[in-house]
Amino acid sequence: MSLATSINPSKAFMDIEQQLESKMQPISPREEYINKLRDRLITPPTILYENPEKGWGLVVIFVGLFSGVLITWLLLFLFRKKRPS
Amino acid sequence: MKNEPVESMEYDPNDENAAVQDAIAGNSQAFSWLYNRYVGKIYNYIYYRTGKQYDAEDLTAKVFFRALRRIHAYRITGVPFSAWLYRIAHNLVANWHRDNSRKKEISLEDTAELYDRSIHPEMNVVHLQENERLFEAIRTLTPDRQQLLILKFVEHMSNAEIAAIMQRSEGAIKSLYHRTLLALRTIMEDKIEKDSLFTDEDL
Repeated sequence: MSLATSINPSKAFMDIEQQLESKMQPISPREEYINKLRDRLITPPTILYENPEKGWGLVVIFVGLFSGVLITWLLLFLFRKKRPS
Repeated sequence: MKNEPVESMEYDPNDENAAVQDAIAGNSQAFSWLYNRYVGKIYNYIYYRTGKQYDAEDLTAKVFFRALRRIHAYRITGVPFSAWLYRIAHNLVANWHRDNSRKKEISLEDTAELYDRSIHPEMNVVHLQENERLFEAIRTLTPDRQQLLILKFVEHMSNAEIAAIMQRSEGAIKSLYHRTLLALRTIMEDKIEKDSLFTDEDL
């Protein structure tokens, strides 16, 4: 090939061009891949909104404390009422 | 490509600016139209740059996700929209080569798609070796030379179209093409000489 190309470089170019033309063919991507990727691109991602559990926890703690204070206060109130003066 | 647009929205294929403008404004169907138009071309570009089907699919997806994220900042300047996509693809492929720094060659299973199934298996092996030699040689070229060959031989673009995409003059493309063929010829001659040396040593 070296000898041939040194004698006639344009022929060597034509050979390479022919090789490129015959071997560089378009490759079709998989149809399934194309469709899935399109869906992923144009469909907005589903966002799941979760209620903040931390807030509920605080509410439970607050209600618990409030109930405790209320019960204690009621018991003290009743105990004082029953005690003979 | 047989990728028919699934959306009802249609644009003039000869004037994609309307689709680009709508896509910039956030219209997903316009982006889908552009996707249908260019996904095959970008896939082919990446496939011939990487030689791997899996990586071509992964990088093609990355190109379009990046384009979708950044399209709001895209400005219509008269340069084809595909030039922007090719630039994103070029950058991602460059990163891929840097990150992998693997030997750039096509494995036998990857080249399976590139050979003719209608001919005898033994002939296919010969074809496969020829293909491997050619694609190895192509991958040793600079990225712009590889891009030129892909646009010319895979996409069958004219020098003017390639010039618009690569943002060079038509004359510069002709010159680059000539230098690319010269380089490719030299690389292939060297490879053939090396291969024949190995064969002689084996004997």
